[in-house]
Amino acid sequence: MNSRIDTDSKQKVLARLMQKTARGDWQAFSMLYAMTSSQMFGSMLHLTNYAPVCEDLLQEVYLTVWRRAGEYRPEKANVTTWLVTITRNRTLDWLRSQSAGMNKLTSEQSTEALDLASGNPTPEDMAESFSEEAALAECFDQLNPQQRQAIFLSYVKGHTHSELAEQLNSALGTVKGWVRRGLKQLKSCLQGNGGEA
Amino acid sequence: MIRLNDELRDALAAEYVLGTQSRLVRKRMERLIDQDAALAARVEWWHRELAPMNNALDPVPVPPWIWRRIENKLRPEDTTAEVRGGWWGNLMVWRWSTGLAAALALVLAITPPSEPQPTTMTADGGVVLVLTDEESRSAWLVSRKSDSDPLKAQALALPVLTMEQAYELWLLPPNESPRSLGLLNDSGSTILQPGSDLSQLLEPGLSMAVSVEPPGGSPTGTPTGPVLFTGAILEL
Repeated sequence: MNSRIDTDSKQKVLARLMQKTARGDWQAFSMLYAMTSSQMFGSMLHLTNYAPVCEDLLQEVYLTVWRRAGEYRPEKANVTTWLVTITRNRTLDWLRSQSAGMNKLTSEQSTEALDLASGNPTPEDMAESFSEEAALAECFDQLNPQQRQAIFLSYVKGHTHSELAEQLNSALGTVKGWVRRGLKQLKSCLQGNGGEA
Repeated sequence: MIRLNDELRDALAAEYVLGTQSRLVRKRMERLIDQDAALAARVEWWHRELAPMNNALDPVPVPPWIWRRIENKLRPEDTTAEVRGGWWGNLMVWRWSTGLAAALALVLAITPPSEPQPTTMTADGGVVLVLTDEESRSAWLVSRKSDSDPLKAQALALPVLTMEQAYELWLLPPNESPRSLGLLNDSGSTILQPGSDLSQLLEPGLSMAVSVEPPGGSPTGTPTGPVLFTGAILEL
């Protein structure tokens, strides 16, 4: 409960810092960066497995934040969600622009990134770590293991359907079905828990 | 313009946010999102609902040069990076010094001349600061809602201390030696209730620092251990 309160108070501070950043307050922007950049960097590293690219992407993300801070609307999402959205969109665009995907990276580069992003989280890690976010955790638990794994791997690793099929050693159509049905079930559960749609 | 029914719109939005779509489909989706407000709303919804999955991913320390590159891009004329180097240079001196002269030198040096220096607080006295290490990694979030409220220090990511060590928070008023604000828990939150004389000094622009001290705090009244984190107070 206390950690939830702390999360709420942290989000309120972040929202205020974002508001000040929108007015060109450099000190507020530097605090916003200090409080959020390591989380965004971790998210990028899991998606790309390639630290040098993440360094460039992170720079781009925060340049975007500085320029677009005025577009942030606290009534629509908290600051972390807004930052995650920018971070994921930019990183997924980069991932998809690599025609051969991760095959382009040397094993040394991938190992370096995996060392930085300690360990590979599993769906079970996720369920534990977002226990504060009761709605998503509860709904995630209701999926079958294949759906859970497919959705988690797509979100965290940025896998396409084909990459998922390869990773999970299953047919493409089967994997697509897990994702599609899993998402449908998640939506229905999240709406039932009060998530407006 | 492609017409989408609600079910298809939702399925496309979900997979766009999840990241399963190819480059081509993502590009098409971006065009559609610009044209179709209902689709944009669904994308927003899915982003919001799935974002907590990021909590499963450990934060990774960001190399310090990235912030310097951002500063150089957005404020090429600014010298903050150099000044910050200067702060830490002085902090290293302080670390080995117990003399008032060294502490005073630090207090004078720690205020970056390029930053505006507000001299008055807001009507309600709300302040915030993030204490970071030498490489700009955040360690503590310190805030106060108004001047009648206590200070709350929230641990973000900290090095583990031994049983013989404790974190102590210091206010660095100009032209005075550092003033202790109290000991900090190394996890969770610490509520600090500085006396009214200290509370009045919590002005935007002033700096704070955290040093490592014996379990009961500094025996001398000034920092005796390494100074690991610093930050400047911002009006909230």
